[in-house]
Amino acid sequence: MALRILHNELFSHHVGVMQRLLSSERVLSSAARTAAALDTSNPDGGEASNKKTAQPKIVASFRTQESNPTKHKESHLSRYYTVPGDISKTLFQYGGLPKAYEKLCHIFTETAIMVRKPYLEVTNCIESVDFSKPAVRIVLYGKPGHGKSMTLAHVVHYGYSAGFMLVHVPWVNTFMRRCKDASPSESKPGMMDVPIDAAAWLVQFRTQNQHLLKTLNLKTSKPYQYGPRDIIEQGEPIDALIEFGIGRAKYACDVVEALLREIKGFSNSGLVKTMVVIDGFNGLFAPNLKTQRRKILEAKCTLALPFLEITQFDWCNGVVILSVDQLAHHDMFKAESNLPLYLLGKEGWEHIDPFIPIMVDKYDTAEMNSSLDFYIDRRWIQHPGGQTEAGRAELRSLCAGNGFELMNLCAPL
Amino acid sequence: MPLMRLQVCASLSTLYNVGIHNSLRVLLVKSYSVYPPTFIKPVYHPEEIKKLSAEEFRVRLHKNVRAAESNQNASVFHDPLYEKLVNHVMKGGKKLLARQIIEEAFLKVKSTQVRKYHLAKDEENRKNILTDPREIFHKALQNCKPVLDVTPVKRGGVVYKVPVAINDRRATSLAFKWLVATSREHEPRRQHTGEYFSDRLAKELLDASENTGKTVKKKIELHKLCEANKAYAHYRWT
Amino acid sequence: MNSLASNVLRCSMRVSLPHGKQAVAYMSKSITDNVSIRKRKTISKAMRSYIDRVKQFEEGTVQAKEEYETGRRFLANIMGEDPATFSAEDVNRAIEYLLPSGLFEKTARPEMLPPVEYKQSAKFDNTGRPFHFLFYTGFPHTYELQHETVKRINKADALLDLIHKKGHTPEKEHQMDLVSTEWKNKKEIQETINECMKDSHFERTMETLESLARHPMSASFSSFLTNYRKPVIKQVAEMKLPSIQLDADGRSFVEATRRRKHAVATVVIRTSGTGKITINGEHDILYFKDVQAREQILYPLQFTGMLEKVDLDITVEGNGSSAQAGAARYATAVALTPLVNEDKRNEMQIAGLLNYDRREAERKKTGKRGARRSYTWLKR
Repeated sequence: MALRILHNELFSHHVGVMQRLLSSERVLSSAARTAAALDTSNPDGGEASNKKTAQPKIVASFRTQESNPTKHKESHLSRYYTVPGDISKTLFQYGGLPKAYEKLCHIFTETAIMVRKPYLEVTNCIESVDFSKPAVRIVLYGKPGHGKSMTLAHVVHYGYSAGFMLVHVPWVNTFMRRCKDASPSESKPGMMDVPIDAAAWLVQFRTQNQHLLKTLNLKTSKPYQYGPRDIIEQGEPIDALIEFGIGRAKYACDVVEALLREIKGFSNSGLVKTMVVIDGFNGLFAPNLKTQRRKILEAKCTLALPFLEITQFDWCNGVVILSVDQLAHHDMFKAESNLPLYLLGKEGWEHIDPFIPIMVDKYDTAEMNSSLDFYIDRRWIQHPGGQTEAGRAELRSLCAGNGFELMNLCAPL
Repeated sequence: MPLMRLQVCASLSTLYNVGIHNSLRVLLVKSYSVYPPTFIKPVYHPEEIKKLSAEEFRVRLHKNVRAAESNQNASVFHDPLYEKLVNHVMKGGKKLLARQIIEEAFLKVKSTQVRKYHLAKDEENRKNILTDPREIFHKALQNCKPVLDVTPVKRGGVVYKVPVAINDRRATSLAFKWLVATSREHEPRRQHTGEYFSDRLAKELLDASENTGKTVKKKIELHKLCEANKAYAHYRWT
Repeated sequence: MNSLASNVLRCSMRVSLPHGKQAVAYMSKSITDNVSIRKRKTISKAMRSYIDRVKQFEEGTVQAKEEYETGRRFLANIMGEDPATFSAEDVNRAIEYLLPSGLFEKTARPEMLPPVEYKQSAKFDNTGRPFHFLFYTGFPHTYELQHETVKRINKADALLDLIHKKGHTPEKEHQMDLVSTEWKNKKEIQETINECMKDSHFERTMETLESLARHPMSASFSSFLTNYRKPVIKQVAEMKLPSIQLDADGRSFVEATRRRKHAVATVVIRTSGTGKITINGEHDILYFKDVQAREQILYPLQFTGMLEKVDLDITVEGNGSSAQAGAARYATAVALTPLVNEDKRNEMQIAGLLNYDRREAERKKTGKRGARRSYTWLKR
């Protein structure tokens, strides 16, 4: 079912969301935030109900016990919450967290994410969306290292907890700039397929959504034929389509396209609500394809097309959260700006406009202190000087609010 | 290359302001420098300045001081031995790269040790595991320092290797050189094995801190050589 | 010689000479003059030649003075100024203007200096007997100085013996303070003792003076020794601190510009800040990808304890990141000097923060590929 919406209606829909977002009840007061951050003695609401012992457990000021992202509010700002181990494995096994941070999680034996303002803005947005209207697009932007990917990871966990179907591309450049294998496409002449990467994505999709695929009985709406014996009939469970794509990597790109169209259909008919999360969205508009062996192929990638389709506004009951990243730009070293207009280019802008932009700003002092506390607690900062106020002040000044930089600075300490 | 260099001093008056004089009109300077010999090295760290006596502080105040170098600062994380290691690892003046490599190596040391720490369940084992990479580095350096050295002495046309006491500066120097040299061994020429210099350095530091590994082996070999040539020790004086 | 001798018998005249002593001068007068021949005292040849020399010199000086005066008036007239108030500086200015020279060496450029006033007394009396007991060494004042020093060393030894006899050790106050003064250089010593010295004499004299200065009881002779010592310039005390200014918002700030190699950095420190660092208007401290460069910029702030208390506005250009960071460090340190107390300034001086880093790229030399690197040696 194709929804024909006039552009200005859609625009006003987005503006309506923005207005509600910026209204007084939603505006996050910095005073409340700092009070929450400094308040160390206040145990969180969710924890009280789980208490069995008489004495309350002392929670570190940089942590929160609330591990359900749907319950994260302003009082949890600049605090780390731990993603439960099994959920972390389900969601982030195939990517989602920045690579360097993943290594840290392995060493710390826990996946912890900080609750930050951009995340609360995104969730406020999602909660105020009218799901009967076309899909709302939210674009995160900011300098590299300020926390866009971490925010998206947090949002993925939110989507999982809130029961969304997740269409999650952890990092676009994995198949646009470092594809394992490229072969000329049969269904789309003049373009290149990336079979192995597409199959890997299908595996990830299946893992992330297995709980939904088991409970909801989703069936294909039309037959798909890829070869003389490769047929998926209409009405077959969607799992079969996914299995087929994983098994036959040759057709994986086409399967992804089919799958995402089916998901659009399911969302439109109200069977499931979908959350599309793509990190490095601007990478999908690259003019060429680069393989793992650094070879540039002058052809477009077919795997980009389904993700471009699902970020359009011709479906409802879904929400799209994207990030534009300087590092996802096809010529990373020459990218001059981190703003959406520059990174998306003309093609991207026309595709994604209108959208809700959310800036992911640098870490403020409270957040940096929280990070440092966390690193000290996890024995990541071994140097005794790192625990002194002078050492901490130095680290804060050296990283200038860039979370990635702070992590790198603490690495040899 | 000798550490001391002879430099003819044209103006004798400068000698007297240094407080030494020499009738041969030569001045022993420790190294080449753009600064005149009257310029003294700075005491750049606040902790070191605290240790100066009031007298020494006053004397230094009246002298010309050289500017502090680029790798000297007042940070709590500053470590002169670490800077020395960076200098030894550096090739072709690429200090930034040398620092990055060493930071990677320290990271690897720390990762291994912290993971070991988390896996070790009882307190007894945990106490013995060192997790601070700088501490491990210092301990490794200490273990690599030789106590004796050989010096060539010519007697009756034959050059003997005579064991001799070593001063701390030379011992530290040798320790650094050996550490870096062993880490550089097996540098990939045609086939990259996936093992980088930082991996080897991390491994060497961990081994040396436990008194094992190739660097400590070099030190032990030197000691053995000294032991073997013990008979010639008196050549040092006769 | 005989003619001179005959002249001696003929005439004599009392002349008053600069050193105050009187002597008899010879003047060429004709024999026919009606001058009474009195009994004369004999003047030694040395004295005579000295007197001649002095006379010549004085005549020369008079002439030179006249020439200089003429020149000065002439220049004043050319420049259109009043000759009466035309000073030596004005003369130099006029010459620089009228005779501009492109020569690099300043002493080779045209100049007009007033004649040197040189006064030296006679070293011997009319009998030719020298006044100074060491005259015949050729360097009387030098050797006298050495003798005086040794005398005082002996006295100092005697003082030390007295103390030792009582069973005490000398206090620190008994030794002269050698920190705030330094020995004069050869030129200055020559000026002090009013005599030229050979290098070996200078060396020996300084050795002797040094041994007196380092004697544990040298404080008693400090008045003697200070003649030959000059005060050490304490760099920090002499340093001109940048001024603290107020900007439009009422916030005080200090500005300093310094260099390292060919990089130039201008740093503006604004007080009552939060540690915000802006580089070239748009970047934060991550403009420097090198951590070492960033640490250099924070170094003066950490040293003075101002790390998150002031805001920094850095404009830097030229050379590479390390030189830029070094220039910024130096400028920051200098800009911090008026904001800290004297003790902290002294500490900064000792830490080497307030000094210009003189290390620059060494020039390439002829016959070498670079500054030191030679061309590859080829056998053929």
